[in-house]
Amino acid sequence: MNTWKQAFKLATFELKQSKINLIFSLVITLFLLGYLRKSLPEYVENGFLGFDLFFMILFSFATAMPKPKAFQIQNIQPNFIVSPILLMQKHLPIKEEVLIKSRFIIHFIYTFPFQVIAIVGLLYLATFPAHFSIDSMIAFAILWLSFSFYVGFIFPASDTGDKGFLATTAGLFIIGILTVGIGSILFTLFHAITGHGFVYWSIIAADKWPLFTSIASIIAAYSGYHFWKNYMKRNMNKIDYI
Amino acid sequence: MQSLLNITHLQKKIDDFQLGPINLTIESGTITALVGNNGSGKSTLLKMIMNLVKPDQGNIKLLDQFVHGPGEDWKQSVAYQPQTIIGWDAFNGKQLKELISPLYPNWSEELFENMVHLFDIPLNKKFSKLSQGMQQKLNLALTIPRNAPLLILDEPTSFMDIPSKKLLIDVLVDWMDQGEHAILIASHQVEDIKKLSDYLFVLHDGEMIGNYEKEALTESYKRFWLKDTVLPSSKIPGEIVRYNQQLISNQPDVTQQFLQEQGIQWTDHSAVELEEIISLLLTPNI
Repeated sequence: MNTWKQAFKLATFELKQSKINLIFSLVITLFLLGYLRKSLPEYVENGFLGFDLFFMILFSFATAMPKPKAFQIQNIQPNFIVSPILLMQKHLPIKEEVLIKSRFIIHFIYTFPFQVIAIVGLLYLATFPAHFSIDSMIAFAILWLSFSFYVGFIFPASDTGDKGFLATTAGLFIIGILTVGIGSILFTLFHAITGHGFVYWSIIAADKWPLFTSIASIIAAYSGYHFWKNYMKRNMNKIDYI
Repeated sequence: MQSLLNITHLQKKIDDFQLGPINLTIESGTITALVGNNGSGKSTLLKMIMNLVKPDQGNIKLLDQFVHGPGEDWKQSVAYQPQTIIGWDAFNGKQLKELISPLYPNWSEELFENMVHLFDIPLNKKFSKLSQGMQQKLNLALTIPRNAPLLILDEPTSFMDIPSKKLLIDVLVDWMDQGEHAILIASHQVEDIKKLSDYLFVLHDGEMIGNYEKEALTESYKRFWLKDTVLPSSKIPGEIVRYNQQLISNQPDVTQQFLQEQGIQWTDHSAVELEEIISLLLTPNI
């Protein structure tokens, strides 16, 4: 059996326990889709940070948030954070490659179908520039679905765990504050310098250079997948699961 | 006998705690009890065997394959029951069996069913809803039937009731008779150690005290009941400890000869209980 097949089988074991949670993921998708659809014309016109933020959250991890608590990364020791199910599976004769791929599959199932619903819904329902062609729409979809690989896959990658101060409650709080703080500064600076937000420029890129945007996004997604996969391998061979 | 596990010069430092150097060989057909004080590094050692903790130095070979090497085939040769069970809460016994049993080619469905029946384990109840004792029983029912050459148990009976402990000992003894297996069991339960083990591997605060053959160890300790005489203030050959007119020696022949030469009389000498021997081994500064 190849490793993807084994990983899928392993992921199914966890996903069977997540049926209701996947319904919550759909609810989050529809809620964010409603907000984004309504806000898009105003965002394109005036630009505001909240739109970019919600858009990026939707295309990275928002729909994975309702995952059952038992499967979420958590503190096993005061300074050790890890996914409990990954730790359990590490006790079993499951190849590392299979473990890693199964984490990706689970995140993918929690996010990708909902992101497809969101992007299709947005392209269908929201008011995009009148000259936005089918090619541009496809490029825009590829750009943001790829984003969910190279940014969103940080979440399955973090399942492999972390140790030390940054894995403590205080450390995680500081990371949270820094992420929000630095993120807000970067978003504000980007808006201030370019006059618009990330999503606006992604619409422009998809509109003007659909082929280039699509190819660059697919390369980024491919590279992102391999980057996080190697990160997980390295991390699993570095951390003491004690 | 086939050597299943070979540990050589193994060392690990975690903060201020130093484990090792440790050397240990486990052969098939033997049961080794891993004995030590709290925090002596027993669980850490077992996790190093499972490649959950990386050593600073030394090697662990399971059936001639390096555990910390790139190969992962060795994992099918070992069944590990951790002391703390993490990640099982969302599942019931049936679901866990569906996950675990296909991973082991020698899985014994018959043994699993026997253990479920014997311990009266509810397979449809979520793991998180079971009592700690029942969780331990389910964990054992999902570990022993893996029929791996090496079975590693970390405090398997700490929450179990007395009848269940006895049943488990019977299960393990039967299991040992059915193939080329070995067990490495970390335990504070003297009854488990007495009834099960062939060898005692003793750790104290991370330091390896020794790997002893149980029968030889119990035979090597003797308690002398001395007559009311004044004993020399210096240590008597073989002496481990003395309380009033009692003296415990781990070289009874040498002690006996010394006492005879010095004209010190004793009224009786007797065997020392394994529990006391372990206590003495784990109190190295007496």
